[in-house]
Amino acid sequence: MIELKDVSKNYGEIKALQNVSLKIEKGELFGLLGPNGAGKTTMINVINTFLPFDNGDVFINNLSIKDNQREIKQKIGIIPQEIALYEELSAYENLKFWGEIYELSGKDLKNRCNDILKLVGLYDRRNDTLKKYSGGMKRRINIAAGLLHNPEIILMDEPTVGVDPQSRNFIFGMIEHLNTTGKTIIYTTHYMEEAERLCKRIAIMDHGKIIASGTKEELFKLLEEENNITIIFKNDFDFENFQITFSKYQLTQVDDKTIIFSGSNIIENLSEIILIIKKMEIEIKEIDFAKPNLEKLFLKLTGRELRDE
Amino acid sequence: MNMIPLIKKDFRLFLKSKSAVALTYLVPMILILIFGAVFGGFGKSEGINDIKVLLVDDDKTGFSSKFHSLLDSLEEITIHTKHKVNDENILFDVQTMDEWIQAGKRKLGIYIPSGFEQKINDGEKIPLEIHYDPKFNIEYSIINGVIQKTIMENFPQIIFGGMMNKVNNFLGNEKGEHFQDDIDNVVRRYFPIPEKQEDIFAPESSNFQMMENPIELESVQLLGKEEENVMFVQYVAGMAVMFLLFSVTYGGATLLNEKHNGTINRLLIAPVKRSEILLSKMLYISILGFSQLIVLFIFGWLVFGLNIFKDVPSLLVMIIVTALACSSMGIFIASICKNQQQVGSISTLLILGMSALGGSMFPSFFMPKYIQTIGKFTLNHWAMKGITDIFWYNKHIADIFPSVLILIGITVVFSFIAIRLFNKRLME
Repeated sequence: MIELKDVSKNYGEIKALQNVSLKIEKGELFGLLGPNGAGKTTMINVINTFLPFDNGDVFINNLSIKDNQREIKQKIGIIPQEIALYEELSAYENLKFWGEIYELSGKDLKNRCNDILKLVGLYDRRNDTLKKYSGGMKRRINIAAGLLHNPEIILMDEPTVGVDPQSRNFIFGMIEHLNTTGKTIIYTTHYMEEAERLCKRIAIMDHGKIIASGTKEELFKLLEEENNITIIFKNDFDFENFQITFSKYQLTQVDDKTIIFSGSNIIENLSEIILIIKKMEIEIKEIDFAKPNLEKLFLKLTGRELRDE
Repeated sequence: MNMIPLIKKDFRLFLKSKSAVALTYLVPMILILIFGAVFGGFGKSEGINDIKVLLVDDDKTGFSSKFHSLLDSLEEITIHTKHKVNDENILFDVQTMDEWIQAGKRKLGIYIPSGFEQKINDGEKIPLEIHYDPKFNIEYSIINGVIQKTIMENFPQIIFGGMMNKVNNFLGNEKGEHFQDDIDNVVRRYFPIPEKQEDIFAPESSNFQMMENPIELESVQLLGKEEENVMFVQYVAGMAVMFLLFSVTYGGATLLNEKHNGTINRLLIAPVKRSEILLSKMLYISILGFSQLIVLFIFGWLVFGLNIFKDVPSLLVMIIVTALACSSMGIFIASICKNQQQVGSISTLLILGMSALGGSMFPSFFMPKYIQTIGKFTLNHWAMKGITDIFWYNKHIADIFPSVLILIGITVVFSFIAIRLFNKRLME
């Protein structure tokens, strides 16, 4: 459905996209995760035909965006990062305008506006100017304006930036609902929790490159060998004795009462470890599993925190 | 074609902004009212130095020639009696003189009719006509005064001769002679002009007015006769063009706003061409400008009785080209600025400067010649020239063609530059 082949885009010296290749299937809810400046928005702007690129090609339903811009634009709904609406107009007037831009008219336009307003939960306040809306409500209208023409593909560029938790949950619910109706959605974010919650497949970007991509499970597998267990004892323990007993594991002493077990398949061997410790008559106070997550994966892949920048 | 929703959206936004609507329509109305009231009744004119006056002498007598050369010797005025036709200098006749004044080539002319000298000798009033464009009331008054002064200072004996004829006719020859003796004594004592003439010459309780003005000066107003307030056109047009520039610049600045709030980018992602965005914005601003000028002229008609129906097609053409030229200027100003604050300061400076130089604030004929020349490089000058040509000089479409052409030229040049700059800016 959406295919990027060796796409590169430079802004002078800055390499915003470096030979990016990616395939997104119809109906997928695909996440683009990366810190600010990773190239997520550039990629969205290349796909939506806004930005010309230097090399490669992008195909939407097997049509190159180089030659079929008008047709492709009709298929795409964009929810930009900023609230790109007219604050002096009412929600209804805004939607009507964007609908007309996408060549909707008459009764169809009116019905679409009303349906979308209901979908985003703002039908009752449709005649209020956006000035009177909260940030979260504006975000919802921002999303609604991108959905009005019933696009096949929805590009969401960090749609929850600056949104309160209640609106964020509302937006998540809406995205999940849209995905169930068969829409293909690309969702960019630098919040790994959002990508983990919403997206079935995720590409992690950094410095204009896709450094990893796949399902969550596939991505977490990249972290498995790094799994570890932290055990805190009630009393001091003899680290040397542990090194002899658990020689097949990698051990790290944190302090007199804390030890870290590392190694592949460590989680599977946890019950065995606990049994041995009991036999050693050492009382365990706390066990902490280091659960794999995308933050850790990003750290592993880049040596930086996801939200460093 | 997505221009119609774009234009509709701009108008919706415009109408929601009370301050924009007030700035566009209400403020210029108030200023027109004030300026019109303050200056309208006065009649304005150019400086008083070296007024170029046409002269037609149909009397062709020694006295009329002397009168002509006396006027010519005055510093205040320069007399022109001839014009060139096919490299040949031809004397003006009354009709040509009037045509020149009506065309705005000269402000006024003096007509010496035949029988000028004869009437003086007969003791009748000296017939003279001043043909003038009432826009130049001050020049008219100056010339009027100059004529009276010239005759009184240089031909008192002729005036007295004429007066004596009148005395003889009124009193009879015998009494007239006695009276003349008395007069001679007085005149000899006080020549050339006695100080308290009325006391000496005017007999009490008599309808005999020997010292009434000896010159029968007829004023022939050639232009703008039907305008109740002759200067009002100046202020309607001036204020309208100036405020049009302000409102269209505000309209142009909305493009910067849209870039700032991201709606331009969103539009560029939508199935809308960049050219459609810019053209629709220009069209919106032009329609806004057109409506503003129409409203202000109707206001002038309702409040000051400005005859806007004099030549509706020509006026409409001028309003359209003025609105287009102002719009292109507004878009141009917005295109060279980075944000709305910059637009505010640059447009204030540029518009007020152009308006002052181009005659929107004060009639250009008030100004020194070199300022008038500089003023010709402003949009205001050509807009106002076209409009005043229609109202004052009764010119029609063919006659106002130079103004129309220049305004169209301004539109093309500024639009071209603005579109190029905006195209570049939109992608930054």
